[in-house]
Amino acid sequence: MNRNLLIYLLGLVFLVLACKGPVDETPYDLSIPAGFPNPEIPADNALTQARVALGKRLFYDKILSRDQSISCNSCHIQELAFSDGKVKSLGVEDRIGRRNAPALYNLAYLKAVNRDGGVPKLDLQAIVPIEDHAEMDLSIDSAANRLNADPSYKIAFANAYGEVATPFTITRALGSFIRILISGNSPWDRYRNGDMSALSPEAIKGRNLFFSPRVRCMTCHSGFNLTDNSFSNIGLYEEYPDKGRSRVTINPEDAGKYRVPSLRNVALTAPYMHDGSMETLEEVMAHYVQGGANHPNKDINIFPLDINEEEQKAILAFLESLTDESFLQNPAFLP
Amino acid sequence: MKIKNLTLLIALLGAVLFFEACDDDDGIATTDLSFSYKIGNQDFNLGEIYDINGVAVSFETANFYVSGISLLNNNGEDTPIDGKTLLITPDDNVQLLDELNRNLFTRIKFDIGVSPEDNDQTEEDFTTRSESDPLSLQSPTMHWNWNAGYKFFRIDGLVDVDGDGTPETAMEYHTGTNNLRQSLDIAFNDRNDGQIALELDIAQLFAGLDLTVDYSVHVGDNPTAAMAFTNNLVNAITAE
Repeated sequence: MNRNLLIYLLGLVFLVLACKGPVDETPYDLSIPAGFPNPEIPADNALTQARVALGKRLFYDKILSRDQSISCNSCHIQELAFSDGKVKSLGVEDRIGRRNAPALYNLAYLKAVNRDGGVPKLDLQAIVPIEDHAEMDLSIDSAANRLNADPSYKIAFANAYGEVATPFTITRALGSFIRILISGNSPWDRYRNGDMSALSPEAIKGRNLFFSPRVRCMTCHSGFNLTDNSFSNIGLYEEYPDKGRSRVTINPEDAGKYRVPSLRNVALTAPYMHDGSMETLEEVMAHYVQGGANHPNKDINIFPLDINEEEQKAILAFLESLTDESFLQNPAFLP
Repeated sequence: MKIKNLTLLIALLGAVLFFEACDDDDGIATTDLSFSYKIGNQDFNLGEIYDINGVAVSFETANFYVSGISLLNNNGEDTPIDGKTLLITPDDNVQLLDELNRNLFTRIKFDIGVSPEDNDQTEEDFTTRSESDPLSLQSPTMHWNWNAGYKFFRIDGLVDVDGDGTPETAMEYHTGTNNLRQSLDIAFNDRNDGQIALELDIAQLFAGLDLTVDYSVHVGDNPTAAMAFTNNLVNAITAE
């Protein structure tokens, strides 16, 4: 009897100790592609192997949805650069989401997150899909209670953060996983870094047009990530049913503005635009060639383009060269 | 002789202590800020059905933040109550303001909402604050998930849209964003019960609003109604 009690007590002590720490602070070795800056890592969420592993586990776990029917992965699929190929994603009970699910890559370089820039930092982003009625519809508090009822999660959270699942540790763990989703090994990247054979002649022609003063795509799609992260109205509609950034700022001058997305992996992230209204890159090209609809907030850089069909195909070939196959197949991102 | 001197000394000490005690009465006392919830002339109770602008309405939540608090004297000189943000709810409508001599003051200024710095959440956010902080995670929640910042005023309830006299449709008025922070300046009445007592008329918040139409307001989806609601705060909160 005393021996059994002793064993029980020792087991309890072990479990308590496992839940209390020590924290595994082994840093995660984030591989930064050539030509990329180091992303900012917040002081309260240092990137560790334990945190990334926990975040990845949460990303693929349906436990974070109210009826446990969907996970983050349901709308963010690695083969599609973590987009999902749908106009708008289906949440719990097949509720239709507000906007087209964005691809998840290089988000570590963002300040304001979401298509309308409403979320001030990456580490708070996960709350949006978890709590949104049309997505996972689970309060972050309920998510914490659910996770803490699972002993294996309690240990994982203790290992990563030295405490149980809380709104802070849940969001930070997911933020840690999202941070490692770095894409920077496309043919275009290899070409930029000196491999002149990496791009086809047509793609090179398209690249030159893309960055030319005549076509001026690089006005907004600039830098190593092909976005200046500004908010722009591209004249998608004369009147936008979804007001975009003005929903956040309540400023009418922001109506119809959305964050300029990166064009990396763009060949895989159809359909396009905030509402998934364009099925193909050819449609997107036609929109820009035509010059967009009249809207008072339309960006002054959006106007009809004088480029012929051959040139349009060349630009599309360049866009195809932005696909990073190694990112799509990286086993580090798999559960 | 010695005993006489000692007696004199004790008497002197006693006198000093007596006057010292009188001089300690400088009027500093615990002062609370209270909001009495009303619906017009009626007391406000969650779950009860009221008539607001001819529409039957019941309420489940009526919570709001108060910040940027300062007290003013007769000369208009401002004494800020630094670092104070209060979350007022029907169940927690009397909250400590400060230890102060409220006899010096005749007006109170405050914002309905939180400061821009707190609303920003690029540094501290609702997940990093301690449980006792009114800006930490609340239930019901006072944070937006799709937007930085807090819900300055949160009302939930039911409204009678079909006109049968029974509220049946979910009503939500969740206002926020820095544009909708409402500043108030109220002369309060002198009371001796340790409170600066204000009154919140919930019905007045909906003045000019048709609740059978505008019953779901989250600022960006109905900025007109959100602005009207915010503007109504000026008349809705008065001195008790």
